[in-house]
Amino acid sequence: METKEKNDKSKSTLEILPPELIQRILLRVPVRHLARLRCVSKLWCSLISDPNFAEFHFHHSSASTNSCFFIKYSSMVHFVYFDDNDASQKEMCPPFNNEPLPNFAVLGSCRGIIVLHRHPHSFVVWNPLTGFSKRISYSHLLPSRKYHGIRLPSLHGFGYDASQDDYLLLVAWNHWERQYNLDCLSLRTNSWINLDAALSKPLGVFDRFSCGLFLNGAIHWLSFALTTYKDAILIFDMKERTFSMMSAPEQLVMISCNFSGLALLGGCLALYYQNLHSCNTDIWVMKEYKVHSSWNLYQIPCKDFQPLCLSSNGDIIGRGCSWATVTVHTESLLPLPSDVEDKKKEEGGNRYVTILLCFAPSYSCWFSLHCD
Amino acid sequence: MTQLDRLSVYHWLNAWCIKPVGGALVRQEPEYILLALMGSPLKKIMLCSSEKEIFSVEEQVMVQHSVIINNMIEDGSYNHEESKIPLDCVDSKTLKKVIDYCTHHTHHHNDNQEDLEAWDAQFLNVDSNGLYDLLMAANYLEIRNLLDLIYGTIKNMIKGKKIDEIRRIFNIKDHGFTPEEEEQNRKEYPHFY
Repeated sequence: METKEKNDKSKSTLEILPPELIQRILLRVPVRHLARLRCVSKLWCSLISDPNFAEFHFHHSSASTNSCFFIKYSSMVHFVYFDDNDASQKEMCPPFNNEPLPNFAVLGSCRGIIVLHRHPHSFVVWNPLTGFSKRISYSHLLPSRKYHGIRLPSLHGFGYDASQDDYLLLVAWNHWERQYNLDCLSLRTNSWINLDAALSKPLGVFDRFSCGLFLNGAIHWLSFALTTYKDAILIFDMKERTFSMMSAPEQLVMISCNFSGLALLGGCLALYYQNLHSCNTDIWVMKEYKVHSSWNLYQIPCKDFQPLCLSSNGDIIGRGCSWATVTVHTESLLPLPSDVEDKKKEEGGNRYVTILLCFAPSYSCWFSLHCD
Repeated sequence: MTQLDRLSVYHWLNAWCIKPVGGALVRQEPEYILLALMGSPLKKIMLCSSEKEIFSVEEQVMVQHSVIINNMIEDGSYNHEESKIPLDCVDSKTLKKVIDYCTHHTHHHNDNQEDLEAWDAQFLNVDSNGLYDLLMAANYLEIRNLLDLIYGTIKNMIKGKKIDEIRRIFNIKDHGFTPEEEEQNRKEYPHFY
């Protein structure tokens, strides 16, 4: 049996690994580093760029959580990784190609894709890790009356429709007559649908920049005027494209409208507000989705606390009063849906995912909410 | 009684912290029946490396860790009296290490997490060729926890390294990009290189 010739250089060099093993190693690499690893070789690039790999990595990777804070500060964005052992941050320039007036607003983030509002009349859809971006104009939606200044939608939400592999962006503007026009953009078909008919009654007075929370295939908004607990939460089901209402906990007292909102804590819907009585921040967490009796109260002894997310130890991370917009963002290498990608998926996709499923390790990291 | 799935029986016993010793009666009757069905826990099997060297190892040790060996014994293709399991892909040095790993983890599975991790770290303190051979052997024998351990180690080798360094570690002599593509990458992400 011949022995392999081993020179000194190869002391720290591995033999060439087969692609399947490289894939399994890459599954353990946090997604923010994967983008860089595309430059290593053509093979690694094709492994990482495969949409099926991105999908699998997004759902099953045992790497540390992909979540970070996406912070808009003047004309740049900062990514702050709060759950990494080497807590780090990076700064990036949004994809506006050196245009003048770099001002923009963050509308939402879903599965690694961020939606920004860009003056005057466009949205920009962007995946910071893959670098892909797309601009969509909405000027045709606004009535002919001219508006001065930047006019953001009074209500918006962004989410993923798994049944169609599509992303939907919902926007509503209020007009002088206090009526709302609700429109929905499908990223897959790149077309707008008007949803006014889907509303059973006219929208209430929502918070000016009320951002929808995407959870369990639906977008949730909190009513601006929380005078009653009944029907306080508006829900849009992505698959059925219908609206429904949900009640907040009965114990809800009359609260100040300024600092209330919804958050996603450990996979559960959370409703928070300033409790002026006790000078606390009250956070109600719905432990079981759509089960009214499962609302649990947590009180934070801090006046201006806005909960953002849970850390892996179950601590609630939030922020105090600040001018910067902070969005919880989950990174991914997922592409936007389009016809071209569909064809690639049909060819070899499903078999690939089945093979990986056979050999995946069985860890996952789930958050659990504890409170002392 | 139908043939029990050995692997799950071993796991069940481990959960109850029963360490069968020499077939002796350790707990009460139901467990004794199980022990009797499995045969003596100190039964040995023979593994044959690519260099035709024979290694004798406790059956329960290999059955607990290697899916391949467990399946071979389950479906009866392994005859205890005469046969040995030929492992042509694995050389003696690597096979010895693999047996070492499985044996330690079987006998010390009740140790605390830190001790086990320290042992694992020491175990994987090998050069790249050794690591590669271990990875191939663990993959062939389908030893899940060893595989996960090695993947984790290799992942740490990648972390924070520049592209040129990663290419060297993974022995990638031809990266496959055209000169234009390579130059484009270097221009766009100079800090990666």
